[in-house]
Amino acid sequence: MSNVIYEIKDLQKYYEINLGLFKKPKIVKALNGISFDVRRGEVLSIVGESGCGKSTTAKLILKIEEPTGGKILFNGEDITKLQHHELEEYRKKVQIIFQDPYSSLNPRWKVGAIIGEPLKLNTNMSKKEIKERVLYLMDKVGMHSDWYERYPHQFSGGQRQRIGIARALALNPEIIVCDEPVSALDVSIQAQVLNLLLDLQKEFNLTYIFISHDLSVVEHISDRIVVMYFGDIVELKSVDDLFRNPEADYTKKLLSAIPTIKD
Amino acid sequence: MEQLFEFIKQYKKNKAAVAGFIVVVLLLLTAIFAPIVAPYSPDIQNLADRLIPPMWDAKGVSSHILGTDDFGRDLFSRIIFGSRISLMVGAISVGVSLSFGLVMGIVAAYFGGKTDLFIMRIVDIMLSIPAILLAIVIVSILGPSLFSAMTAIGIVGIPTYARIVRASVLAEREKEYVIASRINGSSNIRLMFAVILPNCASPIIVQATMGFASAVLEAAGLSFLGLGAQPPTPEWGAMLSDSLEFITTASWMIFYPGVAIFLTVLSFNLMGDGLMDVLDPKLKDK
Repeated sequence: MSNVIYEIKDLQKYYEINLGLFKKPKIVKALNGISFDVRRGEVLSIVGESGCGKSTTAKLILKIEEPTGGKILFNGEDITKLQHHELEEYRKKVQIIFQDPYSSLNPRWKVGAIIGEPLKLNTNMSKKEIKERVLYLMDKVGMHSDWYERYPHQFSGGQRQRIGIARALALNPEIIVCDEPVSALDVSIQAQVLNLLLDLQKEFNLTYIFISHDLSVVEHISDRIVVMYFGDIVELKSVDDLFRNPEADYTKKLLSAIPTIKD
Repeated sequence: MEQLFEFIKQYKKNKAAVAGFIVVVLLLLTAIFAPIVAPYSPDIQNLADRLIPPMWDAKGVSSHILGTDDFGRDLFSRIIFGSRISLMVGAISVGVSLSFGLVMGIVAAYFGGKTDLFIMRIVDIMLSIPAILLAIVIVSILGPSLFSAMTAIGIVGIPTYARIVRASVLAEREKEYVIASRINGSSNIRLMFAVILPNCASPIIVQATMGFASAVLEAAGLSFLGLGAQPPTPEWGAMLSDSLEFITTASWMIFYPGVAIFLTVLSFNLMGDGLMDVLDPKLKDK
């Protein structure tokens, strides 16, 4: 198996916005043909301001939306061409952790049902096996097994995000797309969740595509960073390199926006 | 279980809603045990005992609590058997509107685009037809009967449910838990009915309770016009119209069925109000 897990070539996504019955639809270019690769076992961060296309990239990788042009090669296979069975297999390998831990968990389901859903739909495990697996996952993300029967509204934001992480881990994925997983959390909780993500990465040999608007968060966990601006990649470098000698003007601006304590 | 206790605790705070609930339960019990509760059969005529006033009137007799009508039928028994019909009409017409409205609303909101446009225009067309007019059309096709009235009320109710369901599904559809479930391979049917629908239950339950009340009222109205239940069915609305000519001489015949309609509609509305208070999540979290 090669070292490159994703190869993204000239990826484009345009949205059409209908302005009314008699007007021409307006075309919004969310991605103007971006190319990058994701290596096995790394944390690749995608950074940029809101509207720069980072979430669109995530949606295309997860096949929630279809690209307008370009290719996404996953282990050498173009995922835009996947059919029923192959698509199921692909979905098992790629999972997501959402930004908002309040809307990403079904409020009517118990924790056990939420974490167990991917297992119920994608495996032939019995109810007992699923419960065992869910309890194991809950332990891994630092949740008490007594909480199996609870509802999401009984938890704080950080705990809810742990439920989301456990759900993403359920099917033993290769890749987890983290769509701003800590930006909705208190700063004190952010570090806990980030450390948990790093621990899990080591334990399960995961690859993360980590989306964020906050360079200070990304510095802590990334191997490489993609900086995006209005649908284009302006810089792609390793963390140390990027922080030491940023080339693009936009990257410099982002770096200068990190709050520091002056002595 | 814990949630149920919490629900009861919250619901009990609204005294009017508790009263409504008690009356609804009493009505249900009356309807179920009508042959036991009622002292007479609703259809037995006894012309010797015509137009006896209620028992607390000077001319009243204790064997006919609410008096008798112009055919000598016991009014109390007729009202009790009438509760069966009213509750059945309410349940069936709400069932009809709910099942069609639910599917239409959820499909429209979930698939969006042209499907949404198509379904909602049908709903708009239905909304533009007055209930009574549609009922008259249906009755002229099927002939006047309770069944026609229920069908008419059911069909007239569809747009309300379709709109409520659509609005709440639209709000839920874009939430991330739905996307998460889709990524994990949920089918459209599962997403619509197992994932999204339970989160839209509150407004639907409230509307169904309120709709029950208005269905009872509409059925009484249609029967009053002679388009619903036919004699000798002891339907409350029909009883009102049958006794109209006696309004000055035997007013009890028109008063007590009216009270029955009023109490039923009021208690269902109070109950719906209480449910709305409890099921609104913004109030619940406090």
